[in-house]
Amino acid sequence: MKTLKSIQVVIAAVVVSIFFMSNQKYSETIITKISDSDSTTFTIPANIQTIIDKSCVMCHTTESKNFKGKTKLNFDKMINGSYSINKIASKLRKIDKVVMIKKNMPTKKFLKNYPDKAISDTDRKTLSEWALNENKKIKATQE
Amino acid sequence: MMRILTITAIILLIGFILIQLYPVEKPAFVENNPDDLIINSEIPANIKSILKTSCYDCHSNETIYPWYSNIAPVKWLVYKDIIEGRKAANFSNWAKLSDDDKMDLLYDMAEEVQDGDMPMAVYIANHSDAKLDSIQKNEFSNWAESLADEL
Repeated sequence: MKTLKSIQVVIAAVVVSIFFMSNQKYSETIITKISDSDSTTFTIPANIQTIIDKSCVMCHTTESKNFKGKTKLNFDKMINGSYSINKIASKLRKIDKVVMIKKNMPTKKFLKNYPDKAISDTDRKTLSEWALNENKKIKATQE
Repeated sequence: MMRILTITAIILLIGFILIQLYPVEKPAFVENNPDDLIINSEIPANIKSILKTSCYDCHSNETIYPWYSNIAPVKWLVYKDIIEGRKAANFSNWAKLSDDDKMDLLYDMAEEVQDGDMPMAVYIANHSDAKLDSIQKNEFSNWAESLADEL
């Protein structure tokens, strides 16, 4: 009986944490100053945030349980100044590559478990164009 | 019984000899690589030695082939890994890459070495000196990240 109760507690905890994880949101437009020496900003507008919140944040933030996912790309670090300018630029190029060119993100396994987090072709295009555009902006400030 | 064993052994031996005849292209060894990473950059000695012993067999034109790697069926697997490795990152062609490509590779290298994805487990199993401890992993990743940051 006691075991049954603790199993229930564990299940409840898992359900609650999944609920919070899936509702994690960057609630406002993020403009990060990426360098002290110049006024370069890196912007995630609201429409992009919506896409990222839906299809990317479960693996690509500090709180994620997906170790590999967050090592490869951590949106928290991308906006809080932990990534260097070059690293942001490189990750933006990668976003275009995996979302638009290879289309291997989100992974098949992830989509199997969370079919509601699928990304539409329009959203792929929007996300990728944003990434390339931000990348271009950063490059322009470096020249 | 003895006869069956002998026949099986002969068949296996003939099969083994026959698969040696199956042609596969061996990734070439190139001695002089003027665009090589190590030649064209100032790299600390410890990092240089990690690159040489843990990366260069698959990620440069300077592959050192152990004797067993030239015998089928092992060679099919080894050659395939080397071809794929050079395609993903070939340090012999470093100087020819754009800064963007260098950056992307360096950040990937830092992450993959830190996570233990590289060197591949199958490579380490046959090259025990290629195994990196956690200190080496940190040193390597920090070096790769800072080189990318400076580009």
